[in-house]
Amino acid sequence: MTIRRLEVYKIGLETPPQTLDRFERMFSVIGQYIPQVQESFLGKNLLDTEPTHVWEHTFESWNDFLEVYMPHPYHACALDRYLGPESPECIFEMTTKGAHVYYETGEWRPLLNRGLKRLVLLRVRSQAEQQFTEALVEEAQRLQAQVRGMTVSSLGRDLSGNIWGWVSWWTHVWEQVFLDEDALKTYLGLDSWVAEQERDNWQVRPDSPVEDVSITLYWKGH
Amino acid sequence: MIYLVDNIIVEPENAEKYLELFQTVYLPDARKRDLELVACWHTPTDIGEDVNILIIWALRDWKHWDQVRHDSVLDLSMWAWVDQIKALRKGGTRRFFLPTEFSPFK
Repeated sequence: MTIRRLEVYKIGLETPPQTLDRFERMFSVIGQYIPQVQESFLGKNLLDTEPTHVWEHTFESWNDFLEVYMPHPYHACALDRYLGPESPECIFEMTTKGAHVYYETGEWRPLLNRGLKRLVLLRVRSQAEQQFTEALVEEAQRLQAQVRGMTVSSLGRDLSGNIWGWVSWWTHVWEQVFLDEDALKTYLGLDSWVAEQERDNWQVRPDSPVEDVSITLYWKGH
Repeated sequence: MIYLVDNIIVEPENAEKYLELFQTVYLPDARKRDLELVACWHTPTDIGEDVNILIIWALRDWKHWDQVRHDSVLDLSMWAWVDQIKALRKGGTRRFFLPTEFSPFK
């Protein structure tokens, strides 16, 4: 079982370039200091949506995450400097489209996690959740099978509320990887209720099971 | 012990306001979140230079900081305080320090 963790940030536009460089470098070297943080990658959002960056990474166990990473000096000294809201060096800004989410998956294959990465965070109304989740998982699998260049379609329930005891805003985390833009276009053009919602960026309507959405797109690891 | 040292830079005319907000708004709730204030110092406010405000907190260990961080995120008063002082703060640094063996103050 793999734990995928994703943090979605909005970094202030006025952040000086050298600070941004240091911030970005921090994530590329974190594995040297905390080996338990695997596949660390900071993506830059290509879309015109509020988040500017996505930090994605993997843990092999909850112990690695909670007992090693969380209290580690590198986390405190490097990450908290820029991400702690009280810190005078904080460079992130509040956004309703940000996130700290994690989910478990039994089918994660790191070598396939390269290409055009699309992260979809959904907030599903509680009364619709179970039925919607089952239908979404089934349809997502069917769609992936139809798109040759869709190498990853990994969907899970956000567990951050279970871990921290807070009410998590997002209910579902969906990581998608495409070999290129053509594969993404093929996926979005499919004849399917999910593809139609995706084309529409999951527009929220009163009768829709989806109450909120955050979508980011970035290149990873070519 | 570990010491969290925030060095906050403000315009001279904002120093008094920042310190007042820190003392009356931030500090009471910070203490509830198990943060121990060790020092709060500032450079002179009347010499025509930006004022450096040094705030030093004592932490038992890195796990203590982990817990403080977690509690801060859940504390709405902390976020409200950040909103109030953001405009007053010109910049600054945040560093964690470890005392040396020979340090008179540990």
